[in-house]
Amino acid sequence: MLASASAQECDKSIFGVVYDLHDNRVLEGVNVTLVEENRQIETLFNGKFVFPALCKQSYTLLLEHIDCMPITVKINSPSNNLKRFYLEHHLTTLEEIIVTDLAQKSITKTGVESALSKEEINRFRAQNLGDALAQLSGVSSIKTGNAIVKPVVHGVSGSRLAIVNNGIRLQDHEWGADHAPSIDINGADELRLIKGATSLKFAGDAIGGVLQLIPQKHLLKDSLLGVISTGFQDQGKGGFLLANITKTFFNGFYFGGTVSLKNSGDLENPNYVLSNTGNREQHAKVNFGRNRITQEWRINYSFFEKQTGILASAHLGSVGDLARGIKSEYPLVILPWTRKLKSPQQKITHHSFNSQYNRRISNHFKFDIHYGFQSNFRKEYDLRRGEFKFKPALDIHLQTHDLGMNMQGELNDSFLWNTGVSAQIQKNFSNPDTGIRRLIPDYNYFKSGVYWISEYIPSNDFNAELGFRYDYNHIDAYKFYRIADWDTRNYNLDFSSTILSTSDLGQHLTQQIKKFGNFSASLGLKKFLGANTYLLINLGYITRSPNPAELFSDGLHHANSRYETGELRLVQEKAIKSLVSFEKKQGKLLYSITGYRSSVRNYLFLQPVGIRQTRSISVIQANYQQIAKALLQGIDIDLRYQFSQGFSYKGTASWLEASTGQGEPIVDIPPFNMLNELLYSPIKISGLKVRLTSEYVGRQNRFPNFNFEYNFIENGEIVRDIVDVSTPPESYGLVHSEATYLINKQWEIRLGIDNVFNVDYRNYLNRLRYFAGDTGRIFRLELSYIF
Amino acid sequence: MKLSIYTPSVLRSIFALLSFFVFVQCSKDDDTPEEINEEEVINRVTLDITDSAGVSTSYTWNEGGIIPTLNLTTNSTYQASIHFFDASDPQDLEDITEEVIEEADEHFVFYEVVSAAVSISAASNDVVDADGVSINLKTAWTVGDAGSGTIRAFLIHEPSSKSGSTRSALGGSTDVELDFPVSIQ
Repeated sequence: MLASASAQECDKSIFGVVYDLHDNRVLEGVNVTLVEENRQIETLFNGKFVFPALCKQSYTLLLEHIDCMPITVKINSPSNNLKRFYLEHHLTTLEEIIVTDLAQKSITKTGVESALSKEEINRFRAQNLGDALAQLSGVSSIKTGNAIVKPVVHGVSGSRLAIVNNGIRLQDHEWGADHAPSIDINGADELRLIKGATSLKFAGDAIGGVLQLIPQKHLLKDSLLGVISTGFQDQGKGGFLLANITKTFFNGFYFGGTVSLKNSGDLENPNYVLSNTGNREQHAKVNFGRNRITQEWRINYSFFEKQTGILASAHLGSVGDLARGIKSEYPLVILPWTRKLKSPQQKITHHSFNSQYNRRISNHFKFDIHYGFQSNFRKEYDLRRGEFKFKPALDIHLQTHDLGMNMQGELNDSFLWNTGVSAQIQKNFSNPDTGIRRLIPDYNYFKSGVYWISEYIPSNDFNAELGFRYDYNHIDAYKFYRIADWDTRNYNLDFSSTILSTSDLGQHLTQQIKKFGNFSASLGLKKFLGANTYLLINLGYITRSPNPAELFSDGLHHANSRYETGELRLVQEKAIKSLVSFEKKQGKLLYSITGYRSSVRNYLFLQPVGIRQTRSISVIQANYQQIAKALLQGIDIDLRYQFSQGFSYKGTASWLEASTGQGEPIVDIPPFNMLNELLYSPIKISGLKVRLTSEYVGRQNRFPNFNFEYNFIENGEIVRDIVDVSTPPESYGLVHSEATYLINKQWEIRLGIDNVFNVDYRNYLNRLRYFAGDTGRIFRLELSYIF
Repeated sequence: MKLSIYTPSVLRSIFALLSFFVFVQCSKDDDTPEEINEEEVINRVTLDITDSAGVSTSYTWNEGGIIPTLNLTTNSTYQASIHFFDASDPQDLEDITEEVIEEADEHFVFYEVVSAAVSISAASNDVVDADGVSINLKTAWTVGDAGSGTIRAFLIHEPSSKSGSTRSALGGSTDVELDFPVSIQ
């Protein structure tokens, strides 16, 4: 009788989940101590823990986590209900960067995600966002020379990849291959690539995923933090200067600023100078705000300016220049080294203002509201003469206002939800002073979106996430068409009512209103399969409406001697993406394998269709077109092995195949690539880190044939020959090395050598590969003072 | 209460968002863009070829048209001058050659002869750049035996060299590339 009574009394349990107070992330690896019984347990990947077989009495829980202030919680009487605990996770934000490992970083619960920490970002201070991201498996870059680097995720880039900075999507004419994101890498504290339901919070049209730049979290204490860093590299006699300072106060108030300057002259191939490849960048950021745990506001403003020369030999007048450039082993323009920039060049200025207010109403409900303004100026200068000599050939100004609100809450212990609405207005203005017909017309773009993401956590070892998003896009453009082009495309059949007027110069002024309703959905499942083993499955349905470039482009791109024409009849792309990822940690080995397959209906791309005689030269005509179906599938592998304390290996490999519905290859798909890295930090010499990296890029064997013929003149004879714009370059291997030495946690010296063996290579995804090889060996020296 | 959605601050935020939508709907502006008349185009090229007797023949190519055949006489010499025009507005013909002369340092005319017995060199009255290099706006042609072939005329913008014997050796960007058929009789 007595025994059974006591058994009944001790059948209670404490079942809890631990969250980060600020962003509701679950915290794995929290050490939970049941003080009265001296029992200890660690929270699992989903933040949960359980102490079974407890009696009906009061207990004390001590929650400890390496990054957090420990808390003690009194439980009066255990019940079997799930309890939520919140830890202040930012006390050691600065150290967090060093101590966190992959699993702990997870923001998405079922989404597949990879991240770059501040430490990893710091290695790329002198380079670009795209260069840093290429460290992640499945990420490559489309380049135009070395300074214009555009990330490619799972074979897609531009409008198919959303870049989110400070919670707001970057708006900067992201469509062109020579349009790199207007972001300085030094403004980012953490980079995350999210694929899965969580990404619907930011975008519904991103097949490639969402690339999120996350600002620094601030400490609730009086402190002054910062870094002053400078570096020099022999290539281009380039250098950078970076200063970053953050002052925080115990009451939660903080302010900070960053200034970063980069300057470089012509880069060099092992055999020649890459003329006119200099680069200038200026970046400044100020931010301030107040973090009071249950509410937070912050305001920041950033300025980014970049002036980049385009390889001189890549400025083409005619298709003949392209033909001769490709045929020649060496670039056709090699000039003495100089720091000066001249045309062709581009100058980008991006202003971004951002304000946000976060509020936690209760432990069960919080919301944020944000407003952002972005202003992007893009000027491209070509070789021109007379009164136009110093005028840009392209001068566009894109202004974007964003307003949005997100809410998070929970209906019950195992059901969480996220929802939000967003609105955007965008105005593009193409300056007519260029004297060149607008490549992109003037337009007003209005977007509004609403999303819902629900998360279901039925048990300790299983999570499910289901999200929906609907966007309404409305474009209102004023576009001039040459009557000849208008007629060639038979636009009169469908669009005659859009003509507002017809000018004496042979152009129709038309008003194009395009409306699209985009629906996207995502389902994610995460299953815990046993000790440190996870299986993630993600299914996404993604709708993307054509962007203004795809609809309206009308102009010559000198860098590829290509006349690009948009198409009014384009419809939405609809993709189904499935992704399966398996992650396992086994002793010293940590590995993950991700397989994905995107099937895209009405896949949109730029198809070269022939030669266009425009005035006194001929160029390639390329049209934006849609094919019934495209299929992109690939595998990414991540591998880490800890040989011993202080000696580790890291490897990533990515393979991808892209075909049309007929099995024809798709252009500009990254070839197989592999990154292997050995990291050695001797225990005896604290602060020293030596890194040896090998990079292998295979040859892309699957490519469409866009070759054409040209009448070359050789030794006084006309020789008709193929202009090979299709065949990818050979595979190559590069070795990079780096050593960093941190003295007293204050001074850091970094010495790096890229392309140690001075290999002369060409990269398939570098638009300038037709005209010149890539850069040779680079020595870098950097010195930082951290306080 | 789990869903504190009626908290005044939440309501205020929702209201702010709604008014933003209203603002968007009302702020449509109707200013139509200005039409651009491209002015720096070369859509007419004229070759004036004068024989030793002073008789001049003008060969003109217009955008969209056929490139005329140059008729030359065996074993003779000619003076040729090339002109570039923007003929977009027939009422207001713009002579781009003047800009080329003004920016002689950055321009170069180059002829490549295929299969025909024609040799071309700069004329003594040609325009020279700051380095004293003739830019081939005016050239002297020496014609040999009968036959036919092609003369490819280039106007090169910002050549990296003006001394090469092939187009590839000159660098720069091509503004004009026209194949004139030649008949020598």
